[in-house]
Amino acid sequence: MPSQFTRGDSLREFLTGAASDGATQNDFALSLGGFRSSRQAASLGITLDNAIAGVRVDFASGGNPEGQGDILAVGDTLAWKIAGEFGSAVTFSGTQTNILEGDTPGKFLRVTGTPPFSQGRGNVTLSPLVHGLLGFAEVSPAIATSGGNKYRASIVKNVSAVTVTAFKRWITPLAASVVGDVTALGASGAGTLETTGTFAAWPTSGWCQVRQSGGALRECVYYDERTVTELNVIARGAFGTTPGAGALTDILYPVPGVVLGLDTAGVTAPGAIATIPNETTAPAGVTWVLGINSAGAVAHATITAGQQFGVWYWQNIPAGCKGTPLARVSFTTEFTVP
Amino acid sequence: MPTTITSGERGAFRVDDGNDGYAIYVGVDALPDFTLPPAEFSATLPHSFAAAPPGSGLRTYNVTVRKRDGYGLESQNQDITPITINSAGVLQLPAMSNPSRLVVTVEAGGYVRIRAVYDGFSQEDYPANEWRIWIDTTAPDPDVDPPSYAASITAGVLSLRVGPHAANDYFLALALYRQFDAAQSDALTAEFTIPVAPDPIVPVPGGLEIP
Repeated sequence: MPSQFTRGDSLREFLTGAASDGATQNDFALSLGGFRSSRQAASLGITLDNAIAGVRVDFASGGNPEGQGDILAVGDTLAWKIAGEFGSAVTFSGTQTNILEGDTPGKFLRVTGTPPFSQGRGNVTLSPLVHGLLGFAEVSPAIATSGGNKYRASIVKNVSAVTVTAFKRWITPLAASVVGDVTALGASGAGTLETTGTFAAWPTSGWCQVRQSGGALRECVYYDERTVTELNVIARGAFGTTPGAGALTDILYPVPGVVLGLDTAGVTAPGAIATIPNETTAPAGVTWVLGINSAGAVAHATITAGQQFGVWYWQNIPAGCKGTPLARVSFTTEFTVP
Repeated sequence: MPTTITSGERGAFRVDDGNDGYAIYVGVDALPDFTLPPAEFSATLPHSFAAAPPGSGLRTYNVTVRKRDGYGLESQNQDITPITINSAGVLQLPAMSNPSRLVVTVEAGGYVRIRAVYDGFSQEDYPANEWRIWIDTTAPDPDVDPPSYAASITAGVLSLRVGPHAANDYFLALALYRQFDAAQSDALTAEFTIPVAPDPIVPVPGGLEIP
């Protein structure tokens, strides 16, 4: 019976900018470091259809895919599934807040339930959450034209009663990688990346990491148009990377326009992390990480119960950024609980 | 037993690039491919773009225009306007439809009201832009004779009063004209008579004056 504050719910990510630890601060744009807010950063929007009486969905983990899932109520138990099989049923007694895991522990809902429930299935649709903590504000025409950078901070806290180990977080590519085996970029300037594979599943515009065949990051670039086989690159050296000539063995990854870095304070007892005066000022001393797998992730080995650490996010908009209704941001988080 | 949790953090943002306008998709002798970036983009309409002529024969550019907003969202227009040119780059327009439902009504004073309908006005990609009317005492030849009257087409219906005409029997022909390629539709014909005007009405003398 996974109750809240256990399993995948052991680590919760909160806004910052509060007056004191856990105080109220609900403005994403003011999440600029300092103390942890009481507001948890949501990952996905939640819409209920055919809702089950007695059930309130409080949170959907970012490990869930977007789309429609089902809560199944049988007696006083609830179970959750999305893009897979139902996870273990959880029994509720009185009003309780528990987590319902899908077929993996990272795909969970935090649910407050008061039986008796109406029986059967209720639909839960999870959708992208636009302009939350990781989404920053809407990029204006002025910024899209000339480019710009913004920064925000969160605090991840171990809200469980146990020690969490092996925390890692990395950038999740937005589609499958492609080998740029037809045309590579020159040493600098605009150009094209072309493949005999397909970019069909890639965003129509966005950021692309160019990695050597061995996996080493060569550069991050921005493309404003694509066909099925070609990216039109207009901006080089995104996120502080250095433009350089590519090779026809390079592997291309579609990535979000946001990267992350850990606060320099490391893992601490509850308290303030570094602050920045506004969204456009970079935090000092943060090492930005562009890793796309666990080997290139930010990491903390041990977070004991009640401890926290800060995470900084950097949104890098290139000059000439193309309009889009939905630029996705996605990170993978991994940790171990006893 | 330790459990490794693999989850994630997600978000999304919008970008408004301020480039509201029109995305223009062009398929050359084929339908436009909407999965590709548009061939042209223009903030306003009308917009001109170069259409290379074929080495020989005809080439058709199938054009679709979609409205785009600053977020890159486009209308889902599927309508295609074909533009066919020959090897000299001269536009080859499709034939126009003909006018229909011609009604000629003689009115007082030697005037004639001509009514007709152009069904293709709102449906054709390259509609006619002028009504042409011939009126003569002998049957006019619209392919040769200059028109007696011309009127711009602003709707698909004509209701035009012309004259005055002297009393006589007349032949009337009506056709549509497209200025761009000097194309003219088949003509509708009618005949009408302008009667001799009756003498003016004079007062009837009063009874007391009857001799």
